[in-house]
Amino acid sequence: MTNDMLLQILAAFLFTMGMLVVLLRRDTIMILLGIELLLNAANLSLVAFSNSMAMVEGQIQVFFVITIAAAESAIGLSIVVNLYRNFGSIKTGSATNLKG
Amino acid sequence: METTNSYLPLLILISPLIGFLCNGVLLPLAYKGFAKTSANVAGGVATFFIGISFIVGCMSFFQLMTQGNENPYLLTYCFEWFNFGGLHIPFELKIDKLSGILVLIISGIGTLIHLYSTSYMHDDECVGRYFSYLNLFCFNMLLLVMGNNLALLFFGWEGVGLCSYLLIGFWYTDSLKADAGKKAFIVNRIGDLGFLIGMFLLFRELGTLNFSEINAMVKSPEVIARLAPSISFICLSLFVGATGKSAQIPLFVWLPDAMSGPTPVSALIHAATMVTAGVYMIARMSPVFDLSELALSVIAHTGAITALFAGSIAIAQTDIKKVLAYSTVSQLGFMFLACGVGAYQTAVFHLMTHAFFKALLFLGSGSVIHACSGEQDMTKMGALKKYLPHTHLTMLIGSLAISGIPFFSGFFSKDEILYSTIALPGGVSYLFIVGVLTACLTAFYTGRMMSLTFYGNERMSHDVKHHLHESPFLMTFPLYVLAGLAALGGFLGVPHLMGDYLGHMPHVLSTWLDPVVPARHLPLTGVKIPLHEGVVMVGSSIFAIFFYFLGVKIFTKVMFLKDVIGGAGFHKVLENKYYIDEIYDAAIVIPLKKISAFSGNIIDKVMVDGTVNGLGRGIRRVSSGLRVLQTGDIQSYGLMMMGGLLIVVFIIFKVLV
Amino acid sequence: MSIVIIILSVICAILAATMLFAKNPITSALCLLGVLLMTAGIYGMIGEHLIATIQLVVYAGAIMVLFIFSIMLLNLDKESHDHSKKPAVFYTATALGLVLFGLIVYGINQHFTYKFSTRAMGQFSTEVVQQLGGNSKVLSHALFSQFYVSFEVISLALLIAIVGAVVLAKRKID
Repeated sequence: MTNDMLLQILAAFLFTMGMLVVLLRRDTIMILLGIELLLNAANLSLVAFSNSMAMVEGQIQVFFVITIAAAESAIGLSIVVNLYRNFGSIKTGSATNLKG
Repeated sequence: METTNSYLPLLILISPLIGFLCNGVLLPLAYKGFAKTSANVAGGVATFFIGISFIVGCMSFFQLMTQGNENPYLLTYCFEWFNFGGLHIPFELKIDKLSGILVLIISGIGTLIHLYSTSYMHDDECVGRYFSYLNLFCFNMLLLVMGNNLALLFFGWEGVGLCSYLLIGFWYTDSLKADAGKKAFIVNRIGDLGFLIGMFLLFRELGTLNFSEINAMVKSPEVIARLAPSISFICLSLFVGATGKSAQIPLFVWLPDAMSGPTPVSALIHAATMVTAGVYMIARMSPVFDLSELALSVIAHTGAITALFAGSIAIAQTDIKKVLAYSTVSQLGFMFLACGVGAYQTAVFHLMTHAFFKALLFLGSGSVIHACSGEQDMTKMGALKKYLPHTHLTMLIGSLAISGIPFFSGFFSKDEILYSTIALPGGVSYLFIVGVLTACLTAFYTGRMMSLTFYGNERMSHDVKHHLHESPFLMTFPLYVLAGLAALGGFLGVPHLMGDYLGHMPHVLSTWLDPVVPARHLPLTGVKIPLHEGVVMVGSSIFAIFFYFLGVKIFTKVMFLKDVIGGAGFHKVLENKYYIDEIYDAAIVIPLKKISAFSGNIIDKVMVDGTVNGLGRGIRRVSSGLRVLQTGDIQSYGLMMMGGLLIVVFIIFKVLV
Repeated sequence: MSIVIIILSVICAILAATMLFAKNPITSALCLLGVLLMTAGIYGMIGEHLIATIQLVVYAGAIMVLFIFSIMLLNLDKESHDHSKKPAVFYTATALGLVLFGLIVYGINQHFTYKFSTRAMGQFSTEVVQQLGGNSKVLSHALFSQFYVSFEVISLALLIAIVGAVVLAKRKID
């Protein structure tokens, strides 16, 4: 098992964990955290591959992804704050105004 | 002289239509309702318009006589009825020598019966409706005989069927009578299907429906060759139509039931005119029928069997109108027998004489029924001679005519038919024997009817006896006119053999019809076989006289033949018309109902409804199962998404790795 | 295979698992922070210094602080254990996750066994990068020359996100 392979498996593990966090946790803020974990897993995979293949595109990509992650978390957190203000809770099931 | 557009046929046709519109539309409007229409006015209007038809019919008949060329005719081209593809149907009326006779019969007897009805239906509630139907019938019947192509004939054919249905069920509040109307209509439908098939096939083969064109075409050898495979089928299909309309086996069952209509209707429609439409159609298309030996043989046998069959039923009936109805079926069988052996002229001759004496008998029976306060059962009559002298006299003439007593009209025509069955190439000797048997039966049951009605003991109830009265002049007048025709009408067709002895009276009708319906009757075309004809004539006269007076004699004392010679079981069979209705019921109606019930209950309710409902129920079940997935919970959706993602990843690995 | 990387990887995996099962959001957030730090360490170990730095500064420094700040601001309680409410969902998700992980590992294994040796190599091998002045210089050069349009667009997106966040946080939903 090489370094690259180890990193890829780690990325896969992180991705799975992030996925499970998104699916199982009931707080919206936890879901956002899960998404960060997912992005991080993707970043790790990209950087590892790009590094082993002697390229820079992967790193550039990761740079952008981090930026997007920042933007996303800013928006997401403001939504969460708004949700809390309006419903008094940030559970996924709490926003039921549109439920038929 | 070539006739161009003559307006006489159109006038004949239009006049009863106007009468129908007057009685059907104008008078009810004027009187505010059918029921309020005055009987005299309605009857007067109807009689007036059909009378115009008769007068114009006479005029056109004289015009035909004076035209003097070989095959004179009057033609009215009205308008293009329809025209598409190769089908070109003009609304064209034509009176030639054949239809001229029928126009006279229809409008003449029609006028008499209208006159009679004015008195007979005087007390009925819906007399306006009655006369409008009657006029509509005359219109359709005239269209039937004057239409110059099969499509117009079929138009009239259906029209008379409709009017027959309307008039049989005229007293529709009685469900039995309404059912009789429906029966007539439905049985006729079956026949009409055959007629339509025959018509379509004929059109496919010849490309035209015009009678003169058809009859001209089938004379050319190549057309005969082309028609050879299908001609029997065409003729038999047309004959199926004729059996329906003219009440032959197997479709005769409606005619006896049709007697539930008013008696003048029975006289006009179910004796004199409509039921002979089949005979007219075959005579009109005789060159076509001549091409198929098979079809002619079938027609002859059907006619003979029907004649015998219906004649035997008539012996056991007690209802005076039923006797006459079966007698009509029997006589129509005679006409078809004549057609089948190729003696079309003779068939038309018998059609004419039959129209006279059968209309007379029906009107006479109507008079009797009228006198007996609506009683139709002959076992409750008897000895009416002294109460109804006029009716008795005229009906006597009619019964002598139908029995074939010498020198009355029926004698000539029936004798000619009997002779045709052995003398013609298509004739068969056993058909002759059947014919003779039937003739004897005819004389016998007619004698019985007369005896039960007019002679013997008085059997009517006290009330009825109290009200007995001779019918008014308006009813006896048509009886006398028809009696005259029934007595003398036969002299239009005096056989050559007899004509020689009587100072050479030619066979007028035969000579008249020759250009339209060529004769195949050997003696009529001049080749004489004196012995045969003489034997037939003398023999049939003796038989007729013997059986007629036997019938009269026996039944002055008893009511049924079984009382004299036994055979109660057979009598029961006869009385119940050989259980034909029951057999049809069991063979056709009940299975049909069962199939309907099966398709209604099993196929429709279980299979069709089950499929549709099951589909709906299944979708609802699946949906309510799937509804659980629609939680509104975003993470459940995410889970599903992940499932989908897994599948995608799996596929990618399958492809890539 | 460097022993440091293995250690970092193991810690990283443990922290990620802890993050999933921790009840307190703060714990989870701190675990995620740990994961990010470990990842940054791994980046550094394999020579991606610029990315490691950005990971530290932006992710761990800015984003995670923002998260923790939010959690503390909202004063979240311990999350009630609602896995137990829907055990079916929990087991299904876990099973699916395991299958997914297994699949990816299988794919990685296949890739490294059969395809990795024949991969197309880029021009920026470790030696070349050393020659060109190091990882940061190479990346920055690519970023501001080859990818400068993307860079500008991404900066715009970030700006919009900030404006949007402000608007969202200010408005009250009716």
